[in-house]
Amino acid sequence: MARSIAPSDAEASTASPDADVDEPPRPALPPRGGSVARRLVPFALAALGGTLAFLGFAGFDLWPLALVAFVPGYAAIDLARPRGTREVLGVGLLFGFVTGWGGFYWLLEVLEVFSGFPVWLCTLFASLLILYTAGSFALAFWLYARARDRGFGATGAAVASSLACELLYPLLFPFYYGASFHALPVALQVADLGGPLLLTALAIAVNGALYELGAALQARTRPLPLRGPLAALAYVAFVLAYGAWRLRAVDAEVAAAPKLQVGLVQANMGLLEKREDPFEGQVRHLDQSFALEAEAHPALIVWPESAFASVLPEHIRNVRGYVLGDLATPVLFGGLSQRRVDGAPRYFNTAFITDAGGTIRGSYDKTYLLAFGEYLPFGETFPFLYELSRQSGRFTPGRHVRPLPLGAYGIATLICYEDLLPGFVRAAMASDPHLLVNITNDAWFGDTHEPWIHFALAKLRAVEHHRFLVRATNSGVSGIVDPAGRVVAHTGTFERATLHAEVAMLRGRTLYAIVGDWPGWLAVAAVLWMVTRRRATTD
Amino acid sequence: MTSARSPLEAPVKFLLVEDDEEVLALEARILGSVGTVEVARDGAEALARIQGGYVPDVVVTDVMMPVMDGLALARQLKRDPATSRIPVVMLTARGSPQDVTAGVNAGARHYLTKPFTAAQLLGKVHRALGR
Repeated sequence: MARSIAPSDAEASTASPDADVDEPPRPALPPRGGSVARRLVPFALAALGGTLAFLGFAGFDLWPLALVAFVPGYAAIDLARPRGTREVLGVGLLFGFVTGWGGFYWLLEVLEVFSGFPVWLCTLFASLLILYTAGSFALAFWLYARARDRGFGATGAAVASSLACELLYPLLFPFYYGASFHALPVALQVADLGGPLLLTALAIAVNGALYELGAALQARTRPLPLRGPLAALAYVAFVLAYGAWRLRAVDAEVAAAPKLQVGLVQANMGLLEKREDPFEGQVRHLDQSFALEAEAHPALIVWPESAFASVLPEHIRNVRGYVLGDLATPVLFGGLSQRRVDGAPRYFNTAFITDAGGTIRGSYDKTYLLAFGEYLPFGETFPFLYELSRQSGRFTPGRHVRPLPLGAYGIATLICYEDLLPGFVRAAMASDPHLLVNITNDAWFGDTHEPWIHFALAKLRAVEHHRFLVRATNSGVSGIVDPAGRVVAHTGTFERATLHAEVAMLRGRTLYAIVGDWPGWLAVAAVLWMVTRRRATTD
Repeated sequence: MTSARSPLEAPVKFLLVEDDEEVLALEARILGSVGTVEVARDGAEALARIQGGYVPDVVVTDVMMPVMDGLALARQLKRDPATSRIPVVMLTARGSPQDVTAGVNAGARHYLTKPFTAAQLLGKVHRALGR
């Protein structure tokens, strides 16, 4: 940070009248005016922070950057605070917008390919969606600023505001910033205590502490504000110690548990190919399954979402002749089903499981349908909307999350981005099934970072519930993840592949499974307290 | 046998099995644009041709034919280690999931429903050749 924009020594040494809160660094810039260059400094810092944030996140996977990415952001906010709420929100939006474009750049390709609209219009649509996502950052920074205005230290304000927003701000593509650590199993284990928010807390606590210390050192504040940084350090130590202990415990649990060989098929059907030549997919899945069956003798073969691209009629209970042919292995496969609901035919995005003879033993209909792709919001109330948007699917959401049976075992089954919804997965795991399976088709997003981000984020569900996660996708990334979030095996993207591995059939509910998002609710309570408290100083 | 070939390599050898003369002529013209084509009017005749020493790179066969249908032909080819690696492309008017499953069970790994375009047929053939 340039010395010219740092809090002045005199201002920074102003004592807070409130003894139980840390002294906020006092920005040196006047509320209004100043040179254009100085006015732009907070925005430049926000752009820098946003860039570091997406580079540190899953996809680009430069995770150490996740520990420092928000430092420029907090500096920018503290500079913007004297200029009022509008500037704080602007800086926060810019941070989120840069992060969003860097992390969600693949949206543009998706829109171009499937809408057929010109690039400028697709860019506009993508920018609006990303702007909405950036709103979560802006809100978190605004809450942070309000808490700082009321005398709270940067570390506490940052953690509380970020966790509260991650819990409550609804996103079309949900993500938690803590997923930046998806490749660090020792850090991931706290997710079984409090879900992904505890990982976000790790990232933000370090960022907040670094900023708080750095700003104080630069302002020569004495005594140094150590409470927040020491709390962050203690939390980091706890995360690592707990992780080291849990990794050993998980290994012991896995060693003692019964195991099954599970195989999965990635047939790599192009989206247009899937529509124009639906039988090709059936042939590929069968062909690869026969090979898998001969090679690994699995107890279960998993096919991806809508692997069987035709509608499976309701009356068919044995699919040996219809879908599976001479396969003699239970198969969990994605397909389309049609049933009458309230006298009207309805279509479902369904996962079926069969026994070795091809008889369907259970099914699960996707609960969280993708807006615009699988249904139109308000489309059932205003059916003419479907006439206007003929490319949109018209599926009906499922009504239960019962596990699919595999002999004596239960399989919590998630379709597509349901594996990104920790709360929904908790509901699916409520009956304590033995295994997590996700079936997905990410071919929509092209050969971009998206399939890798989706896989990275899904890993956390395995840790949260101490279960193996078996993930079969159409075009990657398919994989098998152990209960500590370690990848046992995975495929690449846009390739035909099969995988098989031994998975343990585990039981037991974690603290997160039982209690849920308690860190988020604590953060909501904390941030409400922080932002509604009487101002400690006057600006 | 199923490896990709460069344009300089020998032309692809097809064995086309079809009982409808009109369709046979059309298919032969399409396949002839990328290789040499031997024809048979049913599965038994195709099998005899192969057992007689003609080893095609790809068998392209109809399903419903007199004497020996395409499914039986595919099964016979799959059963014999000498012919089990010859890729089979099935062309049929029977386009239901059950038909596809039956074809795959018999040993076919490429399936095209009629009517089809020349590009679709050549696409299947290229895929069968591993291209």
